[in-house]
Amino acid sequence: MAITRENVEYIANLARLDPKGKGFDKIAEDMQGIVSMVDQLQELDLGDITDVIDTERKNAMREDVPVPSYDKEDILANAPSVECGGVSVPRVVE
Amino acid sequence: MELYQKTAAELSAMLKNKEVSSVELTKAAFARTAAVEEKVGAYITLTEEKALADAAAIDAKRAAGEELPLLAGVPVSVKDNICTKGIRTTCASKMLENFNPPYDATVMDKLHAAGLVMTGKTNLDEFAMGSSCENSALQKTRNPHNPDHVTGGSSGGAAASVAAGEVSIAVGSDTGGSIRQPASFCGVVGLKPTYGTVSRYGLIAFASSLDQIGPFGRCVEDAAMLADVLRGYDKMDSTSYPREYDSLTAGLNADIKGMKIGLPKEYFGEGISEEVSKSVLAAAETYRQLGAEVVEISLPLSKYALPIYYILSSAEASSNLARFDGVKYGYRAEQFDGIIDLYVKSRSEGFGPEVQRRIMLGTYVLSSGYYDAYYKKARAAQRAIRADYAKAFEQVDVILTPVAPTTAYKVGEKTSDPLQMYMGDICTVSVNIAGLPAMVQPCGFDSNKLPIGMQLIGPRFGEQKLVNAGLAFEKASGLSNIVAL
Repeated sequence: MAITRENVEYIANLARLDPKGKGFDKIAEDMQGIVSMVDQLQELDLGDITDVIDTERKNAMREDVPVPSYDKEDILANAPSVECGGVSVPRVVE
Repeated sequence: MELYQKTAAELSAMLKNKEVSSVELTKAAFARTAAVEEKVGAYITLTEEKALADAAAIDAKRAAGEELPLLAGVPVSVKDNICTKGIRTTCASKMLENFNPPYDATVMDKLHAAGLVMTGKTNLDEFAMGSSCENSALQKTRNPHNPDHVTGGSSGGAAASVAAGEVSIAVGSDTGGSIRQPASFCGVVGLKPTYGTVSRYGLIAFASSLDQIGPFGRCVEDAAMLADVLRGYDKMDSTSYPREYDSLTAGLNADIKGMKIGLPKEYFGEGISEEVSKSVLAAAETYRQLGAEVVEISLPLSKYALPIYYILSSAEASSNLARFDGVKYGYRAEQFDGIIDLYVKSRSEGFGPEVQRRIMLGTYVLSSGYYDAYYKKARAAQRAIRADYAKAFEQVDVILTPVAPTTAYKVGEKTSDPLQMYMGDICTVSVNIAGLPAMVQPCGFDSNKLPIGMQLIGPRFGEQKLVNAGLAFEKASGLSNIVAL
């Protein structure tokens, strides 16, 4: 699969990365080689193995019991910006 | 013999016999670290004050006549992607440089319950993505056998801390070889347990279906002792396997007469250096002399392991690392224009190039139009790899292979070419894809006096076979407890 600069910018946008960021040109350049490597998988014929459902595994559930959560102060201490006891972000609604 | 040259098993016996206190051991560990750390650079954070307090508490319990677990009072280092309450946990990333977890990982609770004394947090490739420890944004770690060479990665700091005698045991994590390859490069023992054996609760996720925490030591017994502490079901990790575990330490037995050992022909061909191949084949000969039956086997899908691994691990990484957006915790850019720009700038400035590369690949293979060709196919191929191993384990008890194509390469040698770096993972990734246990230990030295490692792969929950086979080789070869520097 050929990876164009346009593809790279499209993927960067999906991943919320800045294609104009420092060092990104090298990342874009490396993508082609890495994609060529993973493309080797296309030559593998898996015969009748097509589904990806793992029937051996079961979903692990816990009882729905209330337990104490982490300390609010400890959690907010890690937030980059705090106002009035909550995490603050730029305005998201016009 | 100095205290730093002793194994954890020896230190455990000395503590029990009251020949030494945990405070003395801990002081000795920090004295050794002060002497060698400038050359090695194993740690991102040292926690000396807390370690000495924890050691004093263990000594008090012992003095009061309390019956203590085997490793109580022994110093241990912990990889810096494992959450430690109130002690910064960075993942060697600018993104988490100032992150103080509000909780302890389950393995930290287990270390505390077993009375181990944490000395500090060790360096890694950023978010455990890398094979040389050079992707750390915060610290440079060098191979204790030769500081011009890399430690391997991603658990490079853990391996180096053990090899340099800063500690006798360490906790690391392995997603595609991150315990085993640095263990090999640094001449120590590293065990990647069966997937689901050790709780991943509090391990900062890279690729959740592949990640597993495991021990390092300078001998097989030490790795087994620490594995016994780490293993066990945990309801906080939905991938934790609900079962009981017998003690690996109690089950250690070096008599391997009649054990069947498989040599997969795909692991000894093109791309593997002659010195490495020869050394691992010599180990196979040792096994023959010890009474094991060594047979050639085939793992035909081995050549597809690398693409499968990089598709699955990058896809999961792109999803797991979406949480780092500059909002609730972690790095936030100083300048931004609106909420989307806050995400983009925080992530681009906070993540290093290798992490961005993997997020890009992961996003690509999961994106509309490519999902079936890459991710879905890789998941189906994962089943085929598992079937490959299942077939092999119908014939043999364990599989013996090289760990990496070469011994530790020079610092900077592979940093400009990520693909070349990825190729170095060829012998280790299929173990994670299949969820199997594997152990690495030294089997020789190359012409530059750098350690060569060998890998023993076992069936699911077959750790006892691995440590027994490893112990037999260790006793026969004398390659045990190698302290560099």
